[in-house]
Amino acid sequence: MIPNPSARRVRFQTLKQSYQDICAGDDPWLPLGNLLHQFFGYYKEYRTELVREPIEIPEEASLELRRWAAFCAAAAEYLCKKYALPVPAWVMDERYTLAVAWFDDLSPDVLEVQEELRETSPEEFTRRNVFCGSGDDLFRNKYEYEGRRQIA
Amino acid sequence: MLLQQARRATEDIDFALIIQPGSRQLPQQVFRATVQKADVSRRTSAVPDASQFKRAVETVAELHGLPNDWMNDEAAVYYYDDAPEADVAFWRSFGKVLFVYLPTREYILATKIAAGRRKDRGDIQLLLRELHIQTRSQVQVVLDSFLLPEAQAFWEVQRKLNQFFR
Repeated sequence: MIPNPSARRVRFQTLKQSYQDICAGDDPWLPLGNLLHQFFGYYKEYRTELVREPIEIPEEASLELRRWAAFCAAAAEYLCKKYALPVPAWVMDERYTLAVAWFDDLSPDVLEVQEELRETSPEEFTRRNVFCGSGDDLFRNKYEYEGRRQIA
Repeated sequence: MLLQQARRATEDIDFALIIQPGSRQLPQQVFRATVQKADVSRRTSAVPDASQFKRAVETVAELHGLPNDWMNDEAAVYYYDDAPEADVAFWRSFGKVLFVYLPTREYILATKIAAGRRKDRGDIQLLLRELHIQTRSQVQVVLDSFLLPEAQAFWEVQRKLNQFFR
């Protein structure tokens, strides 16, 4: 069940909404960051609901938007597996797999960088041709973090 | 009213907060009314025991039907552990209860690099430009000013710097 907005004063930021915001021109990590705050914090009891609805790729989507669509599907699968949630069926749709590899780095054409990203990116991402670095660098949950001294 | 309630809940202790701006808040250091997007931490010298601040947050949450994490103070533990000597400037106070400080860009840069998440990349690039930092040795001076050596090792800052200084 989606939380009643009047009961909790933070707007529900689903993955679907986040992708719509990206399509509308937002810097992708703004809506995705808001989603993660809710997934890890405010609405952690609604994690399944946050990723349940499929994202909708516009018909004339640019390469950039198709890349972020693949990223969103991979993120949904990765987060669901990490937190032992049912993986929504929509993420397996082939539309969310890129034909050409995307290396998300400031120096994407450097072979050494590509090799590192191939080694460190989670399988949920590499299967969709998205190479973006380790899951920890992408989705570190500071709400669960208890301090360096506790885990060092 | 929130501040008065918070004060009652915390036995008249004053609070000093450091607000760490998030994405897009960096250029002007303009802060929104909500604290959702900002990381908030207690100033260590003012509040040695963070539990009272947490109690204040929880009390206000109960009174107003908010989630207990309505105030995002999850970053505090990072600052205590990794960059305890914050470089801050007083911004403003609220009701003579809450005293808010803004960190310098250098301090923000050091903590952003330590975090080194994908979503921090844009902020780090912006801060490097604003601080006119062009070399790895220049940014290392900033890191050494704020991040403890063991924190730099733990958070693999050298690896995280690679993407900015290849």
